[in-house]
Amino acid sequence: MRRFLSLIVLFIATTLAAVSAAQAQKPSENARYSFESRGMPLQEALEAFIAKTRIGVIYNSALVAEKNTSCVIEQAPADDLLRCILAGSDLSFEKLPGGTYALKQKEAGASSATAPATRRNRYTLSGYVRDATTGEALFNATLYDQLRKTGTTTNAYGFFSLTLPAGEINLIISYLGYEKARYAASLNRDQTLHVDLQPASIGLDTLVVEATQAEALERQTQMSAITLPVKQIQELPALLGEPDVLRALQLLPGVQSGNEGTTGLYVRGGGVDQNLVLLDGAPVYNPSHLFGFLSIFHARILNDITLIKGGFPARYGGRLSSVLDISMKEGNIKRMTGEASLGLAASSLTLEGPLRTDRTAFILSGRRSFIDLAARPFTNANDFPAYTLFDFNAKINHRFSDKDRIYLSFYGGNDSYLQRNVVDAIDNTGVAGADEIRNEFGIAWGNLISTLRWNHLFSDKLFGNTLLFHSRYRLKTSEEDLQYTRTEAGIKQELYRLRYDSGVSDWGFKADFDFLPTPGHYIRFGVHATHHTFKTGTIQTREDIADAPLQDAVLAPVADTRTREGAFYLEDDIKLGRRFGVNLGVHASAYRVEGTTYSSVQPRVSARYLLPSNWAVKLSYAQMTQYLHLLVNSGLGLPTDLWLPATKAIKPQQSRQIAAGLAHTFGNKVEVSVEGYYKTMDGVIEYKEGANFLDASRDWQDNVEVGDGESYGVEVFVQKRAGRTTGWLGYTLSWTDRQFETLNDGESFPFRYDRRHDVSLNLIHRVNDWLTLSGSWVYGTGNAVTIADARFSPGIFSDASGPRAIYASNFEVQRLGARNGFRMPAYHRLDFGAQIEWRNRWGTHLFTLGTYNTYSRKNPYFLFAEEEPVLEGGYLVDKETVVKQASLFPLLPSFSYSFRF
Amino acid sequence: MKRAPFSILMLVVFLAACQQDLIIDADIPEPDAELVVSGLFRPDSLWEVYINTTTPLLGTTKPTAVTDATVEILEGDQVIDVLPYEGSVFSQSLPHVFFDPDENRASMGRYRSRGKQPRVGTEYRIRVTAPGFDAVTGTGHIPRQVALLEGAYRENVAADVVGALDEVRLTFEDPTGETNYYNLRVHHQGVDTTSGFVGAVSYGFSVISDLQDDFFGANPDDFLGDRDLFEVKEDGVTFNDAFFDGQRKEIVLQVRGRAARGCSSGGAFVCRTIVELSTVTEAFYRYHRTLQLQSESTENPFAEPVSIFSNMDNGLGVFAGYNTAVWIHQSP
Repeated sequence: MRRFLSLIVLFIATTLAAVSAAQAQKPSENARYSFESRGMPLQEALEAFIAKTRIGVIYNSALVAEKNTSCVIEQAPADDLLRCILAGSDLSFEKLPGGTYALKQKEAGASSATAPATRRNRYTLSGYVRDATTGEALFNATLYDQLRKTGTTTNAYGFFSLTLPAGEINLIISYLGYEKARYAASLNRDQTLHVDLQPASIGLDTLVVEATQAEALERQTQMSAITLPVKQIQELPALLGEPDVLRALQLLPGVQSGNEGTTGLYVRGGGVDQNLVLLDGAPVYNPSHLFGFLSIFHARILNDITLIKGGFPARYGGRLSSVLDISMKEGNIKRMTGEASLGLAASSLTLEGPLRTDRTAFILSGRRSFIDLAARPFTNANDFPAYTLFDFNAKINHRFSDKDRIYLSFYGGNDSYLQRNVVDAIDNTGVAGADEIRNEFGIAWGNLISTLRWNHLFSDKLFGNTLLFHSRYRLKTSEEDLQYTRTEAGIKQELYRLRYDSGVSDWGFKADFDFLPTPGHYIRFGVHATHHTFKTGTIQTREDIADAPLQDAVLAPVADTRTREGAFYLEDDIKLGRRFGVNLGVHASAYRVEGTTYSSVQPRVSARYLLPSNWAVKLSYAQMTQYLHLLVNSGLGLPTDLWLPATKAIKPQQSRQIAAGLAHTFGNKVEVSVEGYYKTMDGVIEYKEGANFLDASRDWQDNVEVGDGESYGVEVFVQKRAGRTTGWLGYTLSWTDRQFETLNDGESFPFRYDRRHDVSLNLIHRVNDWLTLSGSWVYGTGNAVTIADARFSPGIFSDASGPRAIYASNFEVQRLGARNGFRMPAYHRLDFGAQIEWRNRWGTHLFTLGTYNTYSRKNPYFLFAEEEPVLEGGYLVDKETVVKQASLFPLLPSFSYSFRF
Repeated sequence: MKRAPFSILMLVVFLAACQQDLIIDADIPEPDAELVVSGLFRPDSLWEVYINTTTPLLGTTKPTAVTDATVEILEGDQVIDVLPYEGSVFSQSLPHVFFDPDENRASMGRYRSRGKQPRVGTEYRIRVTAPGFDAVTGTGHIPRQVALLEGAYRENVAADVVGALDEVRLTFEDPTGETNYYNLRVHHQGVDTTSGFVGAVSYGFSVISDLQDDFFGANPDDFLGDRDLFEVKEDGVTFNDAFFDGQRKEIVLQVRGRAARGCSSGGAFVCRTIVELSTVTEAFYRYHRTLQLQSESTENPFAEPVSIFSNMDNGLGVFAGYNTAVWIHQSP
């Protein structure tokens, strides 16, 4: 306990030390600044201005290039400071409503340096949109020319390109949760424009009025996609107070949550293996900590999260049911900041800042659970379970120029569980000769993900992104029996050890390109290549016994399976007029394993048509191929689930999905969408009856059945994205079946997570500047399970009365009903959360309180039949078979504290 | 290693501060009762069949012996024997049950031939009719015996945390060009040579770690893994010849030692180890296998439960033959 307290003290001390290095400043009308520059490049001076004042400045870099400034000023307001910096140049500024400055030329067309040699009809405006306070790229920010009624959005790196007819433009740049910015200019040459948007969280009123949706839902061709701001995820009630990305996604329509508490995603009837989970572009195979109760994604260091359930753009492939694209923050390029948090599930420390202002930034974050330390007072060295989790994220990026930028990111995480049991007396063990027997069981799993990314602007219309990645998932379990015997010669040690090891390792390359020739076309194309190595499970034993040779053995050695996967895609997001948009694409992939090559051409189409009332009708069709399988051992998403390649015998999975829907935004605040879908899946696998992951003695391919799946349903999504109160209501009505030739007599049966009704209501209410309240209520039809409907005596073999005689015993077996033919009771739960935020000169403090399962509903976790004693007069006279329901979480209160500096 | 999934599950439950289990009023449909027929036969015994009925999952009722069935054995369409009812066998009393009359215990009706034995290789059919049930039928045969060519026994070749291990070596020749299924059992017996009294049977299966890798690789079943499993495996283990079809095969296995089982020779007593290698039909194999699997799957509440194999039409159970070769080693 003392060590635990010391760690906490150390943790807090580290935090406070880091605080002293940080300078938390907020823009203020009364703020005064001092500044001195002598012969400094104007662009550098402007960046220093942004860093110092934390006020965004929008400018055309061509206008400031090759200009210097000399300015010495003390204790001046921001306006005067900027005026001082611009003095002597041909530039002036305009203050936009959100406080951002926009630079413009005093005399139109004065810059001859960048003037085109010949006049053209169309010019391209390109650049980046970033957060003014951190320099983070803003993905999906909208740039909309009010004069021409056209626009574009930024890509994942904040880049945009807009080619327009020459003439005046009046551009509105907006992003959810940020002040709008306006850029008015005369477009008579190709221009570069960097926009720094100011977050709208300065004041409550500002937030309420100005926060807007980046691009209205009905104007997006993409359907079945939802973007969740990380801030919203952090404000939702969380299990054990730890905000969790995957658990928040489970609250969306079309996404089932599986078993209580776990982070598995079952999207539109698919399995957990059918989600393409990308972290900075690299695939993640098992995104779970704590046996599935927590995901590996540390919400505090992530950018916004996008989940696509259907209508998949051609740039994605390799999984059947969803794409979850997650990126780490780039790191604050303006100033050093940090955050420390203490919670029940885990505690963390994050630091980010510039290594060189406006050039190089980093972010580091570590997270660890203290379950082992907290449990230590209640355990002893000879008999304990111990569990730890940790993860570490790091990212560094460097901007060489406006055209080149590299990113290096790393994730490493590990969970380990060790259970030790020591018995030290012969009387206790009944083992002749043994003085002590020690049994240890351990399991450890983790991911290791590294990416190296290079962004390059080939031209103002062509953006390139090249990625090298490595992703590794590894599971190790071991069991060890050690026996110590005291002899005249000393202590004799005997060992029996058994280890099981499995995992998957990927090396990959991606080259993606965005080409924006006109506002009506957004063309993407690229190539992907991945080399997979699957370790499909080996068992190693060691016996070290006195007077006998050491024996090491690898039982049923299974060589690693190496496969190669390649893909090419081409897509064009076309806008034909204001009302019609279509995204046409094709994803072609090939896969080679064991001398066999599979290939697949997957057409993708999404279209929308805007009706006169601003309701959009959307349609999509997507065909997907997956060259991987996951053998699910328990249905819990435990680390023992085994990733396997498609092989000569077990073919890849295929799906076809068609979806149709309506979308509309009411009053620029409330989005409504209704979507119906129908999906078929071929080549899904399941364990044969009774097989499990320890059957490594035989080829895994003999352990599985191959079958088909079908899912269809309707999803309703109502989301309020702006205002004091935000949140959403999601409802799903769906049917999902599986069919295997050898299971359930070949008849189709409900998928375990087939959920007829699934409802989720989530609200976040910002009461004032310091208090935010939130609540979630979920309801779901009970899971489909197989239970017995009768018992019988099978007759067992025994030698009691002669060879092979049969006699009756207490042994009864069960006759099963239809597979997954029984419904567990419905699941529902109410969670509450409250966040109290206050600031002082050290930084921002955030205290979060929450309750999970507030009315302590005993939700079903699993059902089982069991015999209960029947007593008469206190005597056992019989036994009765009953069905019991096991439940996990009662009311769970939680709290966490975090401190930003 | 078998503890792995169980331990993980227990940890999950521990971490989640599991609530108490709740008996729920599950609305489980009660389908009609079915006849359950257990008819395993071998060439050196009379026809013998046990019959009971299914009982609803919930409640205190027990599977009940069927006493009024007509059990016919057919060869082609010809009825060759009708097995008379010989009485019922009841399950053992529940431990610590104060009052446990027969009606509180599961029972099976026993039907036994007056003198006829099945023959190897003949396809037989069984037809069971009983009032209130549709006729239940099934077919089966006795496979050819696979002889044990050689056997050897060595005591105390190794030891584990439980005690000494003995080694058994068996050689047999697997028939070529057909899928053969086997069941292997090892047990020790203490015998009084003067009175012929046979002591308690002690099952020897324990550690199988010394089997050849290719045999492990071939084994579709449960040789591998948990020692605890084999400690209680009275039925032996089943396997097929997928990886040694047609070969002369030597099995080397370690079994729980005689000494550890308290089976020793001395005076009039001798300890002998009996090894039985049975060739069984696929139906026998699958019935045996699914019985084990259902029992094992109950440890994991999230695993799909396993249906017990049946080769009976209109009912449950198995009608299958087997043929056992025995090798006995007696300690000096």
